This record gives sequence, C-alpha cells and structure tokens, in this order.
Amino acid sequence: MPLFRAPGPAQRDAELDELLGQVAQGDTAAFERLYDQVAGAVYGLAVRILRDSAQAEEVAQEVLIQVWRKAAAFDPSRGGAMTWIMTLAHRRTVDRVRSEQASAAREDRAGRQEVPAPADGVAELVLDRLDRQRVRDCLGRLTGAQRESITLAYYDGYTYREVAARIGLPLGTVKSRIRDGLIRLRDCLGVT
Amino acid sequence: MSGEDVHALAGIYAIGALDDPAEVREFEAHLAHCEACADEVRQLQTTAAVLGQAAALPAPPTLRARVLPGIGDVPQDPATAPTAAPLTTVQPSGEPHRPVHGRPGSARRLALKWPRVGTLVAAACLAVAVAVGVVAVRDQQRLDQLTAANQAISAVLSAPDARATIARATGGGTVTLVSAPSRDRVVVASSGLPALPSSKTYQLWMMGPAGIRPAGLLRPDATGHVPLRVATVPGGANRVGMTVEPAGGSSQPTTTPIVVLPL
Repeated sequence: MPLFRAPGPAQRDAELDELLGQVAQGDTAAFERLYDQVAGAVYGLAVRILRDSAQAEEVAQEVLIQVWRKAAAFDPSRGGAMTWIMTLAHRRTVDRVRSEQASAAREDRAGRQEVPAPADGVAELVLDRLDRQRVRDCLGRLTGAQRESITLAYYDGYTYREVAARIGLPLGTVKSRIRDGLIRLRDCLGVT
Repeated sequence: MSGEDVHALAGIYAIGALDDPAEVREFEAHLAHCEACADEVRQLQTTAAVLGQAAALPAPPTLRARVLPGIGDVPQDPATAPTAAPLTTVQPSGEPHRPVHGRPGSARRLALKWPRVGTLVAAACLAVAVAVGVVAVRDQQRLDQLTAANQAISAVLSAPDARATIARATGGGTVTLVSAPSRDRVVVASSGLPALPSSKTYQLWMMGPAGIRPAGLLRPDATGHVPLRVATVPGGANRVGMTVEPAGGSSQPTTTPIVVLPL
C-alpha cells in the first residue's frame, strides 16, 4: 500500500476518481479500497498538524466518514479525488487545531520546516521514498520566507494573519510569498 | 478590493489560511467569474494536497475498525446540495429545551407520548438552528454536517416506537437517551453536565455482552451546552454509558461511567 500518492501517474489518479464515483453510489467495497489508499495520508496530515495521535485518529475518522457522506459532491472538473480528500482533511484538521484544545502542542513545535518522516520501522515503498524526497527537494528550492510561510500555514494550521504576526511581515507580503511559493512548488512538482 | 488584491488571495485560499468569512465569500464569488483564477486555485490546491500526502503515516488498525464496519449505515448526502442558502437569516427561536429529570441515580423509562416526541424534535431543530446560527458564516461544510445530523436525529425521534430514558449523572446533570427498536441509532441529549478542563472530554459507549465500543465524544461549548449526539447501535449492545476520558477519547473506558442507560 503506497503511503503517498504523487500527482502522477495519471492512471492511479483516474482509478481513485473512479473509486470515489462508486463510493458516491453507496458502494461499501469501493469505499474500503479507497480507504486503503487514502487513510494513511489523511491520518498522517492530522498527526503532523495536531501533534497528537489520539486526536489525529479522531479527526481522521471524521474526515473519512465525511468522504463517504459527501462523495457525491466530488466534482472531477475541479481537481482529482486525492486533492478533494486532502482538502477536506486539511480543513477539518485545521478547524480542530484552531480550537482551543490542540493549540498548545502546536505552539511548542511550530515552524519546523522538514517534511515529516514516517516512524522508525515503517517499511516504506521505494516509490513512496522517492516521492517524499521530491517534495523535500522542491521545498528546498523555495526562498526561506516562502518556505516558512507555507510551512506555518499548511503544516501548522496558522491563518495568514497569524503567519504574518509570527514572522513579522505585512499581510500583503505573506499573501504573495505563499502564492509565489506554491506556484514554484507546483512547477517543481509538475502539477498540471 | 482591486483585481490584483483578489488574485493575491489564491495562495492563502488554496492552502486553507484564509479564514475571514467575508474574504472567503468575496474570493469565491470572484472565482465563479474568473476561469483563470479557478484554474490556478485548482492547481495550488493539488500542490497543497501533495504536501499533505508527504506527511502520510501508516494508519492505525483502530482507525480502520472505527470507520469501515458501520459505514454502510451512514446516510450519504444527495449529489446536488444547495450551496448558497441564505444562512444569515437562520435565527434560533422558541423556548429552550427543558429536560425532564429522572430520579437521581436511576434510569427511568418514560412512556413517551407524541407531544413529548414533538418537543424533542423541536429541541433537536432548535439545537441545530442554534448551531447553524453560530457557524453560519464560517463553513458551508459544517452546515451540511448539521443538516445530516438533523436528519439522523429526526429519523430516531420520529420513529413510531421512539422512547426516552432519562438518568441523572454522577456529579450532576442529566442525560436523556432516545432509542427506537426500529432504528439502529440513538439520540443522546444532556443538560447541566459539569464543565471539563480542555484535557478531558465526555465519551459515549455502546455496551453489551460482546464488549464495549466507543460511540463518540461530547464536548460542552463555552456556555456548557452539549450538542445532541446521534450514535449507531452495534448489534448486541444493550446499554449506553458515558465516561470522562482524556481529550481525544479512549478506545476503552478508563473511568467509572457517570451514567449508564438501558437500550
């Protein structure tokens, strides 16, 4: 089971889009196959943001059930199934971290810029390792301010106002650094 | 806001860092008329999703057990949900829900008459309306969830065989369980439960001869109000319990239940 799905190959993405379409029809077997492909990413992102495996598991549960419930709202013309699922996962996890409970843990470790590595002893697939390395390389090509802004916003769940306050830059500067950085990442990762 | 300013929002929108509801609305309104912007947002969201996937970890087996077995019982939203409901006109109204108190320490089954079911339905609708009022400007998704929860609550409360059991919780407050043999879900309402520190949460459990299964967390809001909760009843369960657990919940109860209600 791949832990990480790159934007390509297109074949895998098309397969996931199709699975999500079947899920929208109430197909529980399709949902189980979808679960196997996405649960690790949903859970891992929640752990990264919340820094708490118990809370992350609870949020991941909510997200995956939401994927089942809202599958019919997925619109392939607005992005792939994996993007749709990860956007739901990020939004829900960030809602949680912005609530009072988890913010203390985030405060402790905010701003770390590395891409999280899987726990020791996890057998990574070669493909998975290469994909992670690619993300790391692409993040490494950003300017420091771009990388810091994106990391604080995406991996720590800060709003752009909070990011601006933390790193002492005007709001407009943060907006443009995040956008410029994402565009650079997009091009480096070959997202189309 | 000038066109240039609007376009600068694409990055923080795609990455989930735009949280001001007015700005989100303004940007989404702009997206509807700017194909190039919608395209950029799609690409940047895909890019952000790759960052998310790079954080992947093996999901714990307990997650699988929490998600997959009951998924077929979870109702799915229809394909075309209204997206631009006039949210801000939703206002809480009516009398607050006044729970019927049972004898302290003991669960008591009430012969539930229709008017009372009606009251509970009204209470459920009120609870949802209040919740909608709170989140209206925040998040359409929340509304969708609340609508689904409202439907699930109504399905239980309007069952012809619905009945309510009320018990006083150890430490204060009351817990009301509405169950219906014809439904595989129950609704749990509570009133006056003591506030908990952020390190703790209330957690529901489905209990039976086959064991104890977690059935969801209940978190009072700042005013002490606890939302109605719908829980799925697994086969064999014959009681619903509530405990105080560490924040995030436990896989099995770690404290003595503050209340146990028969199903």
